[in-house]
Amino acid sequence: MRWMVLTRFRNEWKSIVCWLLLPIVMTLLVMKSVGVWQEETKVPIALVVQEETQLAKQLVDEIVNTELLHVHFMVLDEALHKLEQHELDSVFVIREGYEESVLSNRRNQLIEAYSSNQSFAYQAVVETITSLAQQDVARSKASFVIKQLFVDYGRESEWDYGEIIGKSHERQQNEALLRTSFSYYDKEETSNDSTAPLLQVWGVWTLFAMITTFFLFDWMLKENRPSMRPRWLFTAISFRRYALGMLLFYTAILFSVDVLTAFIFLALFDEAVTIRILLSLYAFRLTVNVLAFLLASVYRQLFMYYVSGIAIALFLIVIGGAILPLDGLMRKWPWIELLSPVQSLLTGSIPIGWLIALSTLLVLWMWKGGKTIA
Amino acid sequence: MLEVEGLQKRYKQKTVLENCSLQMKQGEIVGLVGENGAGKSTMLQLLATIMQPTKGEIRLDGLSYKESVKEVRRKIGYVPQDISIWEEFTVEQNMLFFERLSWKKRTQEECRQLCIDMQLTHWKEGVQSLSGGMKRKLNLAISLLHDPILLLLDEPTVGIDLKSKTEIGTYLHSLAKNKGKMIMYTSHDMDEITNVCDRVYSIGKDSFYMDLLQEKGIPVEQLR
Repeated sequence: MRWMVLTRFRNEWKSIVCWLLLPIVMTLLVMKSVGVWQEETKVPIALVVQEETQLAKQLVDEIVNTELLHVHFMVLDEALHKLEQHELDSVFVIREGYEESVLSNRRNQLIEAYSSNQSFAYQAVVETITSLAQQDVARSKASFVIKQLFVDYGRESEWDYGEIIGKSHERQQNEALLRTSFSYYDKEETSNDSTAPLLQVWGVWTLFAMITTFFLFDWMLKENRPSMRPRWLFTAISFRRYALGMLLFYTAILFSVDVLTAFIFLALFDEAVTIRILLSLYAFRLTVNVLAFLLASVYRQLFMYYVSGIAIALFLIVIGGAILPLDGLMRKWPWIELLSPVQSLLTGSIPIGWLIALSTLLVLWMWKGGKTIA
Repeated sequence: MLEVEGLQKRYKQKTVLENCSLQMKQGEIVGLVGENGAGKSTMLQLLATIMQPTKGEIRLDGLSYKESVKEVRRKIGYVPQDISIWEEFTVEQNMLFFERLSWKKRTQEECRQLCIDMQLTHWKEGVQSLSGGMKRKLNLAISLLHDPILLLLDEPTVGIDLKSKTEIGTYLHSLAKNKGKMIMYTSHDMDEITNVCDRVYSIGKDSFYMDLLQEKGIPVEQLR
């Protein structure tokens, strides 16, 4: 049996290796393209920083960390020239005296802004930067009020201005101020803040992994084509046994490549590799392989098998939330998670329903496979 | 010995074979002729256990098809009309692949000799580059790997050149006469049938050679 499988592999290793590596290559390409596209869709702005104070630096950091902005640092003349050339959407100047204005609670004209007649994102960027500056002003004002309260109660020495600002930053970083969890009386917490252990990289990978699996399993049709079927009647090893051997072989080789994929994603995208994720990956691989195996046993024409395989892969990807997040839908109908093994992979769980159903069908196939002819 | 009694095959309302009986002895080559759709391939598939008859009894070497189908299959070599080999393999790989699947274990040299015996010498060559005649020979060689006593061939020489036809005919003749194999095969080529076969059965109404399948077949001398 091993000799036969290896002979097949030796003859077709080029195409098999291509199909095995395709999901990794395509995922890397897609993620790279999405990265470039995201970078290109950022709004290009120039930041002219004329003050070197702590508050000005903080504001600059916050602007730079805003995901949708691509910030260039330059002097005002160069920035205005580029704005005229429409290479920039807008220009913002943090003028000297910014910290002094904030500390003295002067809210107006903190930042100078320039735009052109093609500054399509100007208003949105102004809102963003203003809100960041106002955050500093509000923090500063709150500190003054607190400080004043201590002064009023004669305990001026307990807190100074810097400490209050520091504590405010600490709170902002450590607490999700705009999010809260609630629960009904005597009930478990209703909102679930846990995030999926596998992120979008795996979502992209599952699409290509499923499609390539369907293509890899076309041997089921090729080796059991109508002209070959009579051959299998006159052999010591039945097609059923041979096919199960091939299923095991492909599962072993595909899972090995999946593990390799997990480590590549760890190196390139910082995706975690844990026992739980590997178990989930194995369950996903088993599910997809048996699905492809059973689907191939139903069809006689390769073309129809490929079309059905691609359609099923796309359907499972969409309802699995790999491309479009389905959080809202899943809160409403939690059972939707059971419909796709992709969702199980993305949440690091085992698609038990799928495995039970496919195992039953596989047993039926094995039983029926020996009864079809004479 | 192959014994067929009162064989009938029906597909829903259509009767393809009706009350067919025949016998074959060791070392005999029997031809099966008839018009298209007369039931030649059905007959071969019934004898090859690929189909079950609606009625009737078949025995091979005293083994009933109904009761001992697995044992019967070990004694049958079936050569389908379509070429059933792996196109992406070489001749050697095909032979060794099916040898591994076979009930009878053979050495690589024995497999090679089987090919040489029927003038198939392209041992290391890929099947894709073989001629139609060579592919037919390989198709036949694979069916002989488990050393069957009954060889059933469904139009084994269709679409091949005269030289290959003659070589296959000669080989079949030697198989029957020297090794005692029973060989039954279908063909539309009456010259080939008369050259190779000892007896001929004709199937189908208004058949050119016989009205209905006759129990003992036509001695081939009558057709020559």
